[in-house]
Amino acid sequence: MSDISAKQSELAEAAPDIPARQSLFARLRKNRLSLFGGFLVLISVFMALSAPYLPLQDPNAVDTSVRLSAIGTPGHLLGTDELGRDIMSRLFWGARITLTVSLAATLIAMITGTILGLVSGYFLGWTDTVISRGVDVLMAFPYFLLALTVIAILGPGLLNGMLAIALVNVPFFARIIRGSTLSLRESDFVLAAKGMGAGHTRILFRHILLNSLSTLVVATTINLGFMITAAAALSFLGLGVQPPTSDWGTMLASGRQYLSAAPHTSYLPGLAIFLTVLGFNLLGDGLRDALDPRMRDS
Amino acid sequence: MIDRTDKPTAPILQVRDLKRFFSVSDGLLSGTSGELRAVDGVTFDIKAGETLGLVGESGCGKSTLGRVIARLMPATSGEVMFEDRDILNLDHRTLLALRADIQSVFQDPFASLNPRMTAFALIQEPLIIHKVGTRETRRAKVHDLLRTVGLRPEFADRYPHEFSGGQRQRIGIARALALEPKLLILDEPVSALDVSIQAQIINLLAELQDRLNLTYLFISHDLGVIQHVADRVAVMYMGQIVELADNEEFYANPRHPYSMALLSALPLPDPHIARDRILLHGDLPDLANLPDGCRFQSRCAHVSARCRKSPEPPLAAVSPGHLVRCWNLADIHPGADTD
Amino acid sequence: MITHPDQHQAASQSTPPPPLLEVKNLTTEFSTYAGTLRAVDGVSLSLSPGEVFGVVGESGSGKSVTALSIMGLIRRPGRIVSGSVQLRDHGDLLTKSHADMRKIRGDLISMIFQEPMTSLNPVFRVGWQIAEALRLHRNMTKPEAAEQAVELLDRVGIGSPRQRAREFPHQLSGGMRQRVMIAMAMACAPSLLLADEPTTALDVTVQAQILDLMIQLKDRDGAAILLITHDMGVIAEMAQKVAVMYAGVVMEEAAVGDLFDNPMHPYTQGLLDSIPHGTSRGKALKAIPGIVPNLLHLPTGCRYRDRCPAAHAPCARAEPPLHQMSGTTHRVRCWLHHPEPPK
Repeated sequence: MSDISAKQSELAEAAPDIPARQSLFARLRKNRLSLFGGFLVLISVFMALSAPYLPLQDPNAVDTSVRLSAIGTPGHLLGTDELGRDIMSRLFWGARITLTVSLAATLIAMITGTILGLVSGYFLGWTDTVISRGVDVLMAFPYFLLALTVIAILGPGLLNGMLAIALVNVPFFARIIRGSTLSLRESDFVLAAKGMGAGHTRILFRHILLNSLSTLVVATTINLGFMITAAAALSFLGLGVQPPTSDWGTMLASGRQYLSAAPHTSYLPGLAIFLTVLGFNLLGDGLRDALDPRMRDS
Repeated sequence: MIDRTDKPTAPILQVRDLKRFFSVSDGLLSGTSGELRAVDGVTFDIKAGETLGLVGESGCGKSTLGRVIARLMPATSGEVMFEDRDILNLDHRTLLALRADIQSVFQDPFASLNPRMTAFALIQEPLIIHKVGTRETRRAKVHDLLRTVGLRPEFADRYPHEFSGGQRQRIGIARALALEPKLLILDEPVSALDVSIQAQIINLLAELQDRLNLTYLFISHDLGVIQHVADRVAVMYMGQIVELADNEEFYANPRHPYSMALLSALPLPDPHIARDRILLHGDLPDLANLPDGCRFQSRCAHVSARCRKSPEPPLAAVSPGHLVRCWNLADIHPGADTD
Repeated sequence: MITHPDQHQAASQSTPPPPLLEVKNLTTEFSTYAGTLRAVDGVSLSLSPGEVFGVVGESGSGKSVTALSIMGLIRRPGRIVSGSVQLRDHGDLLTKSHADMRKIRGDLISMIFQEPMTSLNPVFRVGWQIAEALRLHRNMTKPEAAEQAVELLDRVGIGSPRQRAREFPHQLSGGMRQRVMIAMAMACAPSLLLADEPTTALDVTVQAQILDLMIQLKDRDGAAILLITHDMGVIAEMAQKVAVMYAGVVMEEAAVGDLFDNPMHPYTQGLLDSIPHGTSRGKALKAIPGIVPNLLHLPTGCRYRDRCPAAHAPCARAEPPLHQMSGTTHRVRCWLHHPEPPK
């Protein structure tokens, strides 16, 4: 008995060693652009996290004596806005709100969309019909109009704005996950799991979701970019964050009136939005390449 | 070294008139639908401890048959008895128990292993599903299984893509063995492997069968592999068994014209054999729209008027244990005695 | 029933004609993330008109890359590092421009691939695809080429060819698609046909038909065939000469009879012993231990050394050359058969 195992071991093991796996980071590092994207994302995350700990001025302290002061004014490194509030401080504190709202909205959309996509793609039949048609209805409305409708019903505000942009992004995730579920449910390893007696929950989460993770990571990263724009747009229209708290979108909106006199009051928050969205998109592209199995190892 | 004489003869699996149809639609607009008869009235037994070789070309229904028996796919009608259980009519709990007894090994060792799970997690999964043992005993069991299939336990934390094709198939076999099954459905287990690796896996399967007293349903398109591994051979064509016989009998005296064509088409690794190849002509009939009479009529060299009329020929014994589905055996094999 | 006369004798009957194709010291490399690997490492082959030359090997042996290199179809990240591919009357193919190679491909040299579905364009009718080759290389008019395409389909044994020519690839069975590929390859009556696993994706009964068709066409047109396969059975039926490849090099080369009667390289012996056959039943097969090597991590010395049952001291010291056994055409890359193994 042990003879057999020993012999078989020899047979299989005379193999040369398999080269070590390349880590996700090592693969990501080869892509300069995505590295740059990651750097941009890191900066905005740093801004958001560090705001309470840095010696910044109160972002809501009004001082009408220094209205619309220029970049480089002593005491106000990036100048002040129309009420004399320190722009640098408002950018740091605004990052907290912009990022939290978009991240939370993305998470809500991702979790809801993923569950809907998994269930409809796996069980098919009437479950799929109901979910997919629901998703189609959501997609039939113009993206932003739908968000505005939701706010019209719920009323403006930070939380409602977040729910609104989360809802309009559910179809994005539901579609992607349904697609990968449809192909994965036919795979041999799902068949093998059925043959072992695995239940639906196990197959859905352990086999199908686990293999959709890379798709999901990429989709989420790219979606975060959308979400930042959407959150800023809602605030710009005055439907998101309510004064005096402000995010980049409201800063952009209030600076707009002084575009010729003090352009930096609008282009600084605009630049922050632009660079953060760019960062997430570049990082998402890089992640997609790095997670593609065809790019792995050799 | 492998003693095949003292095997018990009681059937472990009895398949009776098993059918599996798929519904098909004719096109986008017509909306009419028919039935594709992937498995159409299959009857056979597998004895405990033997290897039944199931051979046929692509689309003949051999994989579907294996999947229905492994309860990976429901049957349309028929009966499958495993030991004393009617496996097509089981409630949830008894089905789970049956799954422990019948396990499958798949053709593509890459597709059948979840790429996101380590070898350890893959082999442990059936133990977790069936709530076998504790964390420690499961770990020991997985390491045991790895050694059994000829892999070092140190490899346990690697992912499928870090193994070669043959090693991956060893993981697939270890996983199938985890619940100590009695019957293994081997669906083309060596077809995706290189020749030199194929031999390793065939040897491993033979050793395991001997050691663990396993019964195999060995599905393959390769008549050479089947000749090496099988005790009895069943040939499938268009959803039906057309010939069933002991290994030696089948390879020495194939009776069905399709079996004869299959055997003659097998390229042999010997340049000195100049053979008469039987080339089949004509097309395969449409499984959703079968002709009256014998399903092989459109490609058969011995076709007669009777073959084109209903009913189709039955699977009848020509000698003890040798069953053939053909009307014209007396004409095709004039010297042979048929009873 | 169709009987084959013993085709294996055909090549040795008369004095050998001058080679049609002479590949010398062909080396092709691929750069990967993990390093540069040599898929083909100094391969030399020579084919005469009317001959079937078999190249047999497992995955990663370099047999397909050899064919692609001959066709000039190696693309980045691959590149041909050295060697020459002499086609009779046309010089070294490796020095030809892309435009010249396009004229040669499909006209003088054709290739058949393993998977006919992926080699046929799904959006064009099969007749049109065959006619395209004729219009490119033979300057035929559209109606002429279309007519010729129907004739070719008829010649490769496709029933009601006029109707089939108007069908799309997905409407044909696997065997018929491979027949269409052969019709395309044969359209300009090439002098050399490269067939890369032409029957691997097909059922045995269809494989028999396709092999039969290839022999008929070769006998009629006198083309040479480079037949690449992993199947020793197909080699035995089809080829007159055989090269056994392993990890990018030719390990053994001989006339087909010699190779099967007297396999000299331990790898060839191992391959032949691995094949299940009638008399092996109930016994363990003699499997080759280990796995097919990773080309990035080849052992030093002989690259088969770590799987070889006959490995001994010289094998680790240096890679053996492909040594010609005296008085024969049998060549072996093994120190066991070399007069002066390294001390």
